[in-house]
Amino acid sequence: MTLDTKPAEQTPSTADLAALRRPSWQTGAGVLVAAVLVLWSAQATEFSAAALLDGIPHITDFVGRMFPPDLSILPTAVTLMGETLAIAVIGTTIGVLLALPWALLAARSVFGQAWLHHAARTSINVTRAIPELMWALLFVSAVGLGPLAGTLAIIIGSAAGMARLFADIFETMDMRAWEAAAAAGATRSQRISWVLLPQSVPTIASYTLLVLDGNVRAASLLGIVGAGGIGMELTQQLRLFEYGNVLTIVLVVLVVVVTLDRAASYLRKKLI
Amino acid sequence: MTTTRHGVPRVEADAVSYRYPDGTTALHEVSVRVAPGEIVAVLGRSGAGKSTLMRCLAGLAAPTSGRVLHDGIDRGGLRVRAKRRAHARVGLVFQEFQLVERATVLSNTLIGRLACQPLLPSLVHFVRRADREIAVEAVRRLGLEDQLRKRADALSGGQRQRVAIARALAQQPDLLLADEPVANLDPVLARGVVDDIVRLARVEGLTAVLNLHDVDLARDVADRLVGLRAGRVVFDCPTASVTTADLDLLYADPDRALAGVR
Repeated sequence: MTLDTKPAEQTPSTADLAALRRPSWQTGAGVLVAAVLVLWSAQATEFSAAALLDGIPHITDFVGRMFPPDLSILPTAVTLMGETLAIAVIGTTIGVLLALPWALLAARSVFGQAWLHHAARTSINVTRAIPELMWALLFVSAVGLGPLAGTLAIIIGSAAGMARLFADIFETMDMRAWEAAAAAGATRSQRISWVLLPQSVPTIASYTLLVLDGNVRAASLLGIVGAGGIGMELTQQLRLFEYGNVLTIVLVVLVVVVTLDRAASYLRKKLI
Repeated sequence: MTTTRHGVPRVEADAVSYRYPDGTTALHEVSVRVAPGEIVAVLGRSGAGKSTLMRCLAGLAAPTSGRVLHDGIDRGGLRVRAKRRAHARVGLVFQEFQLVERATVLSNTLIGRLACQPLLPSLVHFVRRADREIAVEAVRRLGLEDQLRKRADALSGGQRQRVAIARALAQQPDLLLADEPVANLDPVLARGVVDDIVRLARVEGLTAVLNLHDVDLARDVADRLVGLRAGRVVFDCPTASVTTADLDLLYADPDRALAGVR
């Protein structure tokens, strides 16, 4: 609005403004720290070019023994992949149902009370901090081996992840229609149902598909700790050195995951 | 300021001052009384306090001092439920329409009926037949019946603002407040939308307050003009008696000492 008139000597010249900036000492220190961290990590994991070269014969030998894939295990693999998909679908569905109210509580724009969204955010972050595989281990101890443990792990893991995503969606949403509905006398819950959800459903559906995709991958691994799905069979066959079977199982997972990924990204494009 | 002939004003700002948290004072003891059925246009430059006054009249902002009375009642003292009902009696039209873009015209209009719905059915989008009819009737009055099931984001700017007006009418308000309702529309559309607001307000016997930029438009539609400048009322008189000198006072640019209408 008002133009400040500054003394002429304070105005830098064009040459000054165009001068190249030397990186600050913070940038230099940051690069140094990162380099040290990477070198230390390489040492700690015994990762080196020499080790990699030494390992090549072993790797080729291992890959060689996987061929040809043993198709006799295919029916079992398909059945177990079905179980894996079922774990992911149920886990995602119930996960979404839990995530929505959780996210509403965590969204500052929906509930003004600071204690409420702080509590909800904290509970989300704590739950999210525990990896799904760890939840699976806990549930295997609690409810025993099998797909139920896996499903529970996926529910908890993805509900927290989605609650975080959805809360961010709600917080970044255009609140003008929300304000108008409030001014028309609509209650908060009516505004959630008539304004907030209609506006965010496409984004929520899109993220849910992405999460479903991730959950199929996660569910394929859960069997490793005995929580059902195809991972159980995979570890079994690896222990028996049946590398042909291992390849078949890996291929089944690959086909399903890639198909789902393509289908999900097609649907997501349609949604947004 | 002006005396009303009809007794209790429909809406009244009584020495309303409004100060933003950063210390800027948007309104200095503004007093405006609007009689039932009256149509008032508020004029002033950007930043004169028109929108703040509107937000105070609507109950969206609480005055720092002074009172806003709706039929003689200060909404500030009401409890939650009564306050919601009081809000529902005020129909609002905003500059930016404030529609649910992904929802249909009907669904947007029905938002105006939510205040009087039983809560649980309304949460699953079940609205009583009588209320749906009120909403459809409001849409029809704005000539949008063919767009009833279209999404708001598929409509033009003028149509969107008409949906917002339908939403306000569906509330069956006794007071209609429009804050720069046509600032986002081209002049021809603007006139059409303002004409619609005023026509419907007259038919329904509503009291209406409009913030307008366009002086000629305001002169054509309003019974009374209120001029705001730097948060103070400069003039408040029947449209016919507002002079060019009054308007010059409103739009004169103090920075350049150059008097002229905009």
